[in-house]
Amino acid sequence: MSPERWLSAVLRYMPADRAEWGAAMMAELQQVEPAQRWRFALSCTRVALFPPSKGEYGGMVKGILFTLVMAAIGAFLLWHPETGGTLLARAISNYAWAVFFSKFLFIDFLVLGALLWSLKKRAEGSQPWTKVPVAVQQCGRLATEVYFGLLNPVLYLAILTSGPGMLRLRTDWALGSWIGPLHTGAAALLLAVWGWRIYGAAFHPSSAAARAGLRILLWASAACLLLFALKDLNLLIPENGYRSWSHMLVAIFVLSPMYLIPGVLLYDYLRDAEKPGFFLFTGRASFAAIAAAVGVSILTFTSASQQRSEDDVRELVIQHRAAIQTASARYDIDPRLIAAIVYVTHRDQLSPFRDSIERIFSTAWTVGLPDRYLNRALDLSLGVAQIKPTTAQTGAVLAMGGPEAFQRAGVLLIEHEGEGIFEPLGAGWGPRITEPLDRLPPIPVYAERGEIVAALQTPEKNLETCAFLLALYQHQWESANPAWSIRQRPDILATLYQIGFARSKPHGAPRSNAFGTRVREVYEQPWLSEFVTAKR
Amino acid sequence: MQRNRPPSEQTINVLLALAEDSSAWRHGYDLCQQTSLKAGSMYPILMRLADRGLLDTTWESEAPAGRPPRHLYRLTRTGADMARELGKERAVNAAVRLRPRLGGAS
Repeated sequence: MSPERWLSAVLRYMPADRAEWGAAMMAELQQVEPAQRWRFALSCTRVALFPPSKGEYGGMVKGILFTLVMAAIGAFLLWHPETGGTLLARAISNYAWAVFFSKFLFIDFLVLGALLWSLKKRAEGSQPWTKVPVAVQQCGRLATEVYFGLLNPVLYLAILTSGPGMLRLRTDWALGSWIGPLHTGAAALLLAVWGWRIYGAAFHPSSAAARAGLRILLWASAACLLLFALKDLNLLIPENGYRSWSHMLVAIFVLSPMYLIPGVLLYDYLRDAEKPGFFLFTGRASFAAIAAAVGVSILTFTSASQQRSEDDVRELVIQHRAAIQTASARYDIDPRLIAAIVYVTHRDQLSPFRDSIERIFSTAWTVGLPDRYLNRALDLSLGVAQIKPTTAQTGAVLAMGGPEAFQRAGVLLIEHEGEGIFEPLGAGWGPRITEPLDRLPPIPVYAERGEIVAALQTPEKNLETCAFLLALYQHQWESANPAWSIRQRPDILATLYQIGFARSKPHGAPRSNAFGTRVREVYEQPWLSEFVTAKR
Repeated sequence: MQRNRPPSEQTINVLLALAEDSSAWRHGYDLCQQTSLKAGSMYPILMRLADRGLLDTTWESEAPAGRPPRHLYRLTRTGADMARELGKERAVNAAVRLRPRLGGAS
């Protein structure tokens, strides 16, 4: 090991904002007499590992404050889930509309012009906006990045799908199955880019690996932006239902800044991945933010992740005895099976803060987000037997004869799918299997979102829906072949209850998953036999 | 908020070394040798002086082939003023310290 190699290794740990000094020490080492080089290198080691703070106490406070404010917002959402859910939905919707309305005042063209002018000035080697204070410049840039797509177009679909007429087309469905992965990829990139901006400075961002990783992230964001642009361009082509070529050209002109602004911002960062301003905090502030986040997470999850005790869950099941018996009688389902599903769900499966998270998401889902994919993410399992609103409503459609019956009756099912009310069905629900069930669903098939959520949050309706869904699976398998009846197979019924309609395909040798096996174990426990007299 | 602590003796030594010819660009290792400070003390001082706007830094524009350009340092006008003040203060203090001893000797 030479002193040069040693110093080069330790300088990797130097914060990005002191990297220039690391290079200075490295260059100076070459001038030191050979006999003194080790002494010089070792002396520099202390500076590399513990460089003087750059007036960073304020920065560290900023990092800790950032985490605490985030934690406070999270705590508010958990303690006031209905308010939190409504605020969340309104904030996203209002953001979407605000970005859309900026077009009518040509604000986006002004922003685009200002960005291009800054780029040109810097390319010429001069500093733009010299009369504007640096803090104002930084705030302006950050606001632009947040406002116009967060450097990533994941929220743009929110704008486009809620747009008045201009782009409100159903062609998203016709574009194929890649739309879902595109949104998922965009959401992942959004998290990665902003996570790196907030916390990245703590991880030696000037190292070759970190710089390469950042470039990959930025290029992936650029590719994602391009894909969104192509997808939306496709929506504007008259053959896909848009009005005319002249309308298409006007729309392209009006909408172009929505793609060009994040494009220019990405280009600017790609030109110089170490551009100051990408990292929102300095190295120490990021460390402080990470440390605070880890501390808050450990405290929160330690206090909240205590599994419910066996006695508590039994008590919960016994509390709902009457409702379980009523539901089982209405849909001819073994009450022990419903009780076992409730038991396993609450004993083994519920996560910390589940109740609050359910309420936040269901409120946001009830208010409705402007994006179908965001809505789908909010479609969370609710209530005592953990049922998704869309599952309940898909069950209702199946009980009434399936999607074909609705289409025959002239109901445009696709419109409802567009609103995210129904789940996709698999091949296991063919016309022969979806003969109408001889019992009505507990929640009417045309119930509004708020009514569905309210019903599922009521234990009686929730347990009835659980029994109803189990009855549907029984009916599906018996209709397919009476010999394949799963009436006596609580493990299989529980498995289907968990995996959903799309994967329920009747056959002669079904096998249970872990959830089904666990439900069967509980189902066979003596206390449950005493709980009710099972109907056979 | 930036705190204005009085500079340490080592910092004053560096400032005075730089102030000997405040228009000349100096190298870090030369300053180490002149002030007898180790690199581990010298660089934090230089960093703090630069952070406070007392020190200009630049890179050698023409480095000889085979070695990287070196970092150069020079006092800013504020830095030079401060060094001048500190130099005067040190001279006065030295005179004050010296006077009683001379008096006692006579």
